[in-house]
Amino acid sequence: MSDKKMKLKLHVYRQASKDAAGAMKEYVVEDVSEHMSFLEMMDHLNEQLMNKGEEPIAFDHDCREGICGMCSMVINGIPHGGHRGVTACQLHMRHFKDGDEIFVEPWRARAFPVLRDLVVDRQAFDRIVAAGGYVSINTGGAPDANALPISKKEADLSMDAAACIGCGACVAACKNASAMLFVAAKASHLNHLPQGEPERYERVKKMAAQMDAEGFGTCSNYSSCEAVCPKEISVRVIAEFNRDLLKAQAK
Amino acid sequence: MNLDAKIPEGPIEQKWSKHKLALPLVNPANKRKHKVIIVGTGLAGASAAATLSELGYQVEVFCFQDSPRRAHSIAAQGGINAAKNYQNDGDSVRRLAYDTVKGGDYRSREANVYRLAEVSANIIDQCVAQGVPFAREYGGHLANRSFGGAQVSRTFYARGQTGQQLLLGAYQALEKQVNAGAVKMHSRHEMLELVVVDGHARGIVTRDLVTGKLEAWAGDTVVLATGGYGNVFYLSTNAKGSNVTATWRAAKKGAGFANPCYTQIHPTCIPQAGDYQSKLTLMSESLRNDGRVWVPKKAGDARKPAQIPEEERDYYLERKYPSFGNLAPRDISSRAAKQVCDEGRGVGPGGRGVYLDFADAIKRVGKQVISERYGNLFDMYATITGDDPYTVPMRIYPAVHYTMGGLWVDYNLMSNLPGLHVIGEANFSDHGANRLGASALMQGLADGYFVLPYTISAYLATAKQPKLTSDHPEFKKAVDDARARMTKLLNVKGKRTVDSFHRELGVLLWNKCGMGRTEKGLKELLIEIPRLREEFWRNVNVPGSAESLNQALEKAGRVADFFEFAEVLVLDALDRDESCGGHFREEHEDQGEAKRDDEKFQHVSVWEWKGEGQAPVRHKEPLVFESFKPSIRSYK
Amino acid sequence: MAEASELRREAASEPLFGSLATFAMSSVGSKVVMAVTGIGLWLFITAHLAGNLTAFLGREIFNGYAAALHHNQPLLWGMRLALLIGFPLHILTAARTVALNRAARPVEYAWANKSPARAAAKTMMLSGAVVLAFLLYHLAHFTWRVTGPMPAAPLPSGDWDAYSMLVMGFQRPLIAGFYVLGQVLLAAHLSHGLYSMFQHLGLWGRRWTPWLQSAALVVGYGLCIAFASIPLAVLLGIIKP
Repeated sequence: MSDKKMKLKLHVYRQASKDAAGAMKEYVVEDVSEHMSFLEMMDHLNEQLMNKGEEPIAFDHDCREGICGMCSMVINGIPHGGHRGVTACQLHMRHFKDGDEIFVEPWRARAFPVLRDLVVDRQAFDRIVAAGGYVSINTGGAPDANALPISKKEADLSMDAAACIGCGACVAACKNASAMLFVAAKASHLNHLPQGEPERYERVKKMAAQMDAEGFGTCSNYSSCEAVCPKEISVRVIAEFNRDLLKAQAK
Repeated sequence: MNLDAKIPEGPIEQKWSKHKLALPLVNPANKRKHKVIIVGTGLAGASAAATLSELGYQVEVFCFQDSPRRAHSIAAQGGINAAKNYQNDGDSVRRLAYDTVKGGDYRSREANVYRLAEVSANIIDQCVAQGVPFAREYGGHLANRSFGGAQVSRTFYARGQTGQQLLLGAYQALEKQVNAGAVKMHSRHEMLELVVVDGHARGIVTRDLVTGKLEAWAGDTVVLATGGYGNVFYLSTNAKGSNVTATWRAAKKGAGFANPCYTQIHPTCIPQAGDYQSKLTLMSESLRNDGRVWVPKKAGDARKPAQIPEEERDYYLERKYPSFGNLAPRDISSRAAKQVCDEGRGVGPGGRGVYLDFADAIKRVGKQVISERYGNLFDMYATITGDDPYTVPMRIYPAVHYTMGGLWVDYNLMSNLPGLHVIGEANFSDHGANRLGASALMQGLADGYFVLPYTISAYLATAKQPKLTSDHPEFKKAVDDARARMTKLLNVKGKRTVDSFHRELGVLLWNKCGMGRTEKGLKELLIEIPRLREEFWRNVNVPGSAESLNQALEKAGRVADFFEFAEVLVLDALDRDESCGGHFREEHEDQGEAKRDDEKFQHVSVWEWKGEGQAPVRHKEPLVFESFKPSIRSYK
Repeated sequence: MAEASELRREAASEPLFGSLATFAMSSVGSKVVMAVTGIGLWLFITAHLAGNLTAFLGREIFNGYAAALHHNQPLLWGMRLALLIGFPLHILTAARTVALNRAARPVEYAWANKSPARAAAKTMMLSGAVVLAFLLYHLAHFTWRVTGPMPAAPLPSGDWDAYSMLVMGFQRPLIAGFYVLGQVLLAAHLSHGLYSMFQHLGLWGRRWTPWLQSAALVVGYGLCIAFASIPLAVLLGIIKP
């Protein structure tokens, strides 16, 4: 296993607090190993900054294995950096080369205000789920899990949509900052299951209303969301959501 | 320290149902007068929060992540066990309980374990009803697989994302209650203090991680569902934010910390690639169903794996444990990997790795089938390492994964501190000295959905504590304490970053209190850790202020707590002069296998904090096995 | 507690998308408006093309078609009315969503947004605006007759000699060129619009959706070639004065 060391020039968005003005700042980071993940490279830069007495760059991250959905960086104009099915925490530096210039920015959307540097507030997603992204069942009294067979095909379609990690890359990538892929994925997960059926039309109505209230844009079928989704969720779910919402108008 | 476990009388099969009947209830009209504070929104916290608010209690929930959905339960890949016996292969509540007690090397409380097995089936029902998309057979029924050393197929799964799907189920139930106005959710809030008034846990102090604001919250009871402390080792499979602060703060207020030395090292992780590494990535244990583990027979063999002929390979798990082979339990597989690497037969950089080879499985069932089974895991491995596991064997090495130790709780999941309930990985109760695969998800949800909602009602019905608000002087004092600690950290203005200290602490622990532990090494740690801690408080560099989003300050507070806690962990490891499960004292082995000492150590060790500069005191809860007689845990 | 939460839910469910108008103003609803009006406009264009192509059959037939259309007042005004509603709805809704989408991202990326996106989709506004400009010009030319070369007087029947107008206009390369450009942008607009309307109306099929984008491309550019064939045929002398 070889280990090439790189020197990179970074342009990183810095903003001191929610209400402060922000700007891109330039940094040079040295001794970057090709085996580092992108976030480890950011750690490395932060160590350098702190050793110089500067404040580190704030960025969201947690599991660092591509499932928690916390990391959120637009790298060279593409959320998570543009490798199919990969979050920023799993993007490795071997995809870059010595001397590269890299732009790192936060998710940009009115519904995702910047809290500091690369950290944004994504509670809008929680509120959309709270509006209807669940099956209204209380704990206890559930029938036997095998009482209701579900065809493998439907279960798989449901699972395809349920894979969403709620990172918000779809919003960040969309020219309109639309949240349709996220919202529709949650609806599709539940609407493909018999357990989700009774609330199906109410669910899409409420989630769509909340989505609008949060200030996300409209869907223009650019399909950018699908291209950057780390879980490769298909825009099929958006068509399903639209159909259900249309049907809901007649109910 | 009062360590009455309050295990109900009677045969093990009837303990829980009898106990439930005997528990006092809270009148429905009175429920809304009680406020429950829950910290943590993983499987245990989210499920408890949803369920308790459905019952009618006022619930306030806190998590440090930006959304409750991001708690680290989400990363569990493999599955969740349940004694459904859908496969008709002889599973039962008793067998699941027995496997779990034995898997825990007879260091867990059998009544708790039996209850866990008993409610396991309800969990699956509940999750399916919530819309958790478990894997299904073509006939439409739920699929199962065998997992983590079990002889029956009792593991339910959702692709490689079981934890995520279960957590989304609980998270959605929680959001449903938020929407109903029954739960108040506070994300990006970190608990910094537990508030105890008249001997009862009555609230917490949190820091708003965005604004830095310190706030006190008063309630009738506090539930900690804050997960494990694996990150004390710096490198682990835990999320970067996972920490011991909540439970350690509670321990410093009088809650006993049980069995801190029981840490689980997971055998199948991607080996460390360099010093900059920030975490280790787990590869699901399910890979061992088809992968064969081997190293070269010759030490220092630097040939590429494909160039090493069959007869020069040592499939050491199959050789040593013929009946379990590559599926031997976690602690055993991990130790075996360490052994061969210690012998100089490890592979990859630094010689810390073993092969997990799929060549035979691909030959047997075809690349297509292997890809269907493990495609996402293979992709993940390729993304991280740049190697293609279809053609080159994976390299794996054990890594810290789970901590069986935690705050001591009785049968009602309440700590020795009245009013403080502890659920999920944060408590100690169900896994003994080693946890079996697919059992953590089961325990988190069992505690949150089906155990705590009953037992907490009993506490609230009988505690009869006066109402109080956060204006009480104890709350004010706790806020001041939290502020003083932060100010102290910010004022050190030293030369080393928090991470550099944390990394060093991790290396110390991993080398001397990791997979193999000796009296000598542990005693050295008891000198080295305080020395490093002293340097930390003298030389740490925490930039920025306390009144803003300051990730360096967050880390500093957590690492400061890890430093104190690490010493107790090591003390416990030294005190437990036997080998059991994940705790392997090299002095106590029999041909490389852990050798228990039931005579002296069939007990839970519970540590009581005595204050700065004072030695913590060890108390014991003896373990009594009436239903599952301890035997030598053999997987040969 | 249970009762309270039920009440809350009931109260919340009513005003959400109570009427069709509120739905039409919502983000999904406005796209449905775009799709439905888009279908109408597309059908109109297709019918329009069929009429235009009679130019290849000679002066008599083309003028006959033009006169017949002109004299069928109910059909003419029915169509005009549909267009008078459909066009403004299509355009105003588009303008509204553009404003909404701009507001949804108040701060743009410093480094251009490089996320992969369908090119035709990204340029819908531009192609739409050019098509609108072209349409106004086209109306000025043939309907209002205020621009372009004109025959000196109407035919003895009182109708205008549409055939001559067409030939005289398209003999000028500049005018013919503008018509061709208008058609190319219309094709680009349709190649995304025709695919997009299926998504907006929730029509998705595992088998046919993958073909839909190609189909939209074929239909859009097919229309373009057919439309553009007329000015080109005039320029090349295939359609004679």
